[in-house]
Amino acid sequence: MSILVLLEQRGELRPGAMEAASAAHDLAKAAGLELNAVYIGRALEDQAARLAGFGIAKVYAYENDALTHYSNDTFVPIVRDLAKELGATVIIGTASALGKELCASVAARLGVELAQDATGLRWDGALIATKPVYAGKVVSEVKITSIPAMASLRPNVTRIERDGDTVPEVVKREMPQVSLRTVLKEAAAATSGKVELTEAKIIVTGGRGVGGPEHWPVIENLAEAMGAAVGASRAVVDAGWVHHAMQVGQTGKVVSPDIYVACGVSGAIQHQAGMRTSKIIVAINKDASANIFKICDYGIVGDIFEVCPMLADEVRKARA
Amino acid sequence: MSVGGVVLFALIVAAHVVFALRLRNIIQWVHLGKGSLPWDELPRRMRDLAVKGFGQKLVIRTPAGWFHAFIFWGFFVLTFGTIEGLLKGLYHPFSFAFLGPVYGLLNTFQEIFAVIVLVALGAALYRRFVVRPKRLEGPFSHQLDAVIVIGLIASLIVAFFGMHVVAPKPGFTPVTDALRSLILSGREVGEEAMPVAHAVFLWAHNLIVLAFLVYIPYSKHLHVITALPNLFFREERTRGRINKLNLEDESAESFGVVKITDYTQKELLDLTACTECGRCQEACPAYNTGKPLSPKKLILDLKDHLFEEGPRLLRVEAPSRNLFGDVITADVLWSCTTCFACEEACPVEIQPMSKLLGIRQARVLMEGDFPEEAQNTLRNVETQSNPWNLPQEERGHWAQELGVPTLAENAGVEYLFFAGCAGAYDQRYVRVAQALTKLLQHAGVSFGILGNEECCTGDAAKRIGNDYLAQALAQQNVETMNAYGVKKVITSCPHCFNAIKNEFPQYGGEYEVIHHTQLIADLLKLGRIKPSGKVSGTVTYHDSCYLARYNDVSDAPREILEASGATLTEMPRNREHGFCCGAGGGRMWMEERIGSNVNAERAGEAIATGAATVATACPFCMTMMTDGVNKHAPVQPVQVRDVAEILAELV
Repeated sequence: MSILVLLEQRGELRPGAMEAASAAHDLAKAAGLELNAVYIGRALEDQAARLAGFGIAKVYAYENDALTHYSNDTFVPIVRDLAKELGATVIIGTASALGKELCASVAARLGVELAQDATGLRWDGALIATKPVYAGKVVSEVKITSIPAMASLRPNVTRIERDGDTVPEVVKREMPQVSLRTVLKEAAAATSGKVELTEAKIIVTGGRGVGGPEHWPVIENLAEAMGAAVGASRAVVDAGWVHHAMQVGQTGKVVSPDIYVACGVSGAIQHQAGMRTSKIIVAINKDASANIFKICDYGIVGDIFEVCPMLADEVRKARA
Repeated sequence: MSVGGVVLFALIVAAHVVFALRLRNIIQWVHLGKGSLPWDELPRRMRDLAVKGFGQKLVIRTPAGWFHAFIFWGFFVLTFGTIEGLLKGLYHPFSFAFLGPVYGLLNTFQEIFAVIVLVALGAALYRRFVVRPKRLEGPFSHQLDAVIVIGLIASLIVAFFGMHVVAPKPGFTPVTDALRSLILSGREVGEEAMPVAHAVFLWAHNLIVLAFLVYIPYSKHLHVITALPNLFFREERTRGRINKLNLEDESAESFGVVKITDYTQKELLDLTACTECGRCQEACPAYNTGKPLSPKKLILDLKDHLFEEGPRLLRVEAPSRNLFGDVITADVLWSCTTCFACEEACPVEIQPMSKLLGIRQARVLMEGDFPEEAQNTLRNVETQSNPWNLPQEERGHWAQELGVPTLAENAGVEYLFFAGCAGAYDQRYVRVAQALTKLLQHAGVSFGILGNEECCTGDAAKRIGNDYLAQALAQQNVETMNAYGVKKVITSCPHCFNAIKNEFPQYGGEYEVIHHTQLIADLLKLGRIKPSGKVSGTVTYHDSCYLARYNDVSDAPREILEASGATLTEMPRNREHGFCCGAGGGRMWMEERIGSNVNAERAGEAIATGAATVATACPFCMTMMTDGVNKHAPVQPVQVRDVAEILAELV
């Protein structure tokens, strides 16, 4: 009788892992169940400290460099067997692209129910997951009756809350012998800076107003100061200044960070379709009639080459 | 019958057997298609055959087409001599001389057309190998094919002249006479006087005719046989309508075109009628910007596929290659902007665009396979009935404070103004919808909107191939509009215009649909809109495909611009020959990763006119042209505006 959290990693633990742990912690308290976690990846080492305060009793760590990259063949049997061994009654994962696949596969192997991409979890005699349906027009609550009950948690919606600083005990496990039908040698991903766009809390986006690729560092500088991911409008991507992976908009990424800073972006509807649900929108544009000002929370009519460096300096001072 | 006659007879029989066997195969392959070739509407079909076939109406739209027309007409005139030659070969004394004075006249005609055809053949060679228009480019086999055919016809005419030079015939034949006096001056001529020379030319003539007969069905000159039937069997259709699929047919194993035999027999006949003239390719925005799609190649690839798999399919075996993937790649499939230029350009009414749409339907409905960027759009249209996922309840917000009633408030208005997704949500195009509202109110037009009861017409979904979604949207709109008893509809988006006008009747929605440019032009003529003052500067108008090419609306926007006092300057490609902005067929919602950008190409053409303003009458064109102009210059020297906005300024 316990709860098992799947800790997602991409070389390092992902924020989603902590969110899942935090949500599972609440469940464990409400249900009076023990909380354990499973980690599959390269050596955990001091990262265990990041798992402090979630009430996790044990982290079962399957450490091996060969496990750095997700592989359905290997990960699924590990989770399935561990869940059986511990007699887990609840399993919580992260609803990232890979997390969704892992959870779905594990649920299928165990023959149990899964609430995929839940936005909230609570305990009321059983696991109850909140799920938006009909494109968010309706929020449904799903009660999971199978044992174990499974849910994957949408990233970026759960606040990470810690209670104390107890670091969980790490139980090292051997990687089971499995035939790796596929071996991932390298993940060649074009990423926008350090932070994945769709997961970023802050995004700084450059538009055509940047003028040319030689001026792009203005955007990167501000992003770095704010600890933000860098996005781009379609015009900028079309012009070949940056990679398509950075495109925000109708035909690019759809994002909704806490803060979205649009620099030199006119705000055509194609762009808005990718960012209008951001919590706070800041627009910097020298054209006061630009459409972006119609949807922004804070607008600065000015030259991005003056405003952005100034803003970056102020942010750095404030954070220093 | 002489020995020669017997040999010739045997050859004629052999050639016809070879010809007939091949033709039988081709007919069988065409019959692998669905449905049957239609024989109804005979008067219309005969008219098509007369005007577009024998009249060469579509061929002579380009100057080079005249050469074809003369070769074509010459073919019929010279057939008379061909028959005479064959009969003479079989039975030497034969001649059409018994026709009396008509014989002389026929010989005169033949003489004239023989010269004309020779000149036209020379022109064809000159064009193909000296002028080398891009549309005639092709692999070596295509060029060889052309040379063989031109060579055969030319040698036939040389042999024809040879026979006539050696043995004079009645009638006015100045060229033959001149040749004779030049080559055989003073010698005695006639079949008896020069038996060997005459026999050589006669045999040459007859052998070339038979060679041609055998060669035709194996070459691109198959069109000699198939083009006229293709015009005859053409189905009357509403331009701009993609017929709704019967998705409730429970016996259907697949939807759309999964394999070549999912096309109709008429569509397969289409494939055989192509002569590789390349007019479609010349007009194609995808091809002209470096995409792997050429409508000409598409048709030829499908034809080759049909002919290659034909024998196997007749034995009810599975084809060795897949239609999608092996024959038509994803990049080809998704490059099409559905601008209709290829089908407009084809002189024998082949329909390349429609062939692709069938495959798109199969990919989307059967496999859920389409460019991933379009997924956002389709999902948004499905859930919020607009491509940007903006709230349905805000759809009427653009008209707040403008005093426009919704039909829920007042269903007694004359017109429904169908704002469309762009008119309702895209702040740039909301300004157009507002300018239009200003003009209509100024002219005292009674109109209302649906507000949040309006939804997307499904144009993009339909053309991406999601017929299911498009049908649901059309159905929903028609139900709403019929409930209010709507009779007349104004649209500001040509895509809404086309869908409501041409597709909604399939769902029981029969309305008088008018695009805003048409209505404004009418109001100007009636004097209900009187512009005060003039706009300055030159304007070039970019035609929307869905207005000009699909629906013949190209005068109205120009009349408005003239009324506004602007100096109109045209781009080289305009009206029904206009060049797409790149947004149609769902391309608006996809990335353009291959080749150059269609909108940049078109914007370059607009900028080259020197106009200060590019006028549009379509939200997609406006977005694409604005982006396109920006691609040419970071500082914006050219404005992109809707014709309604330009005029509204003067009211």
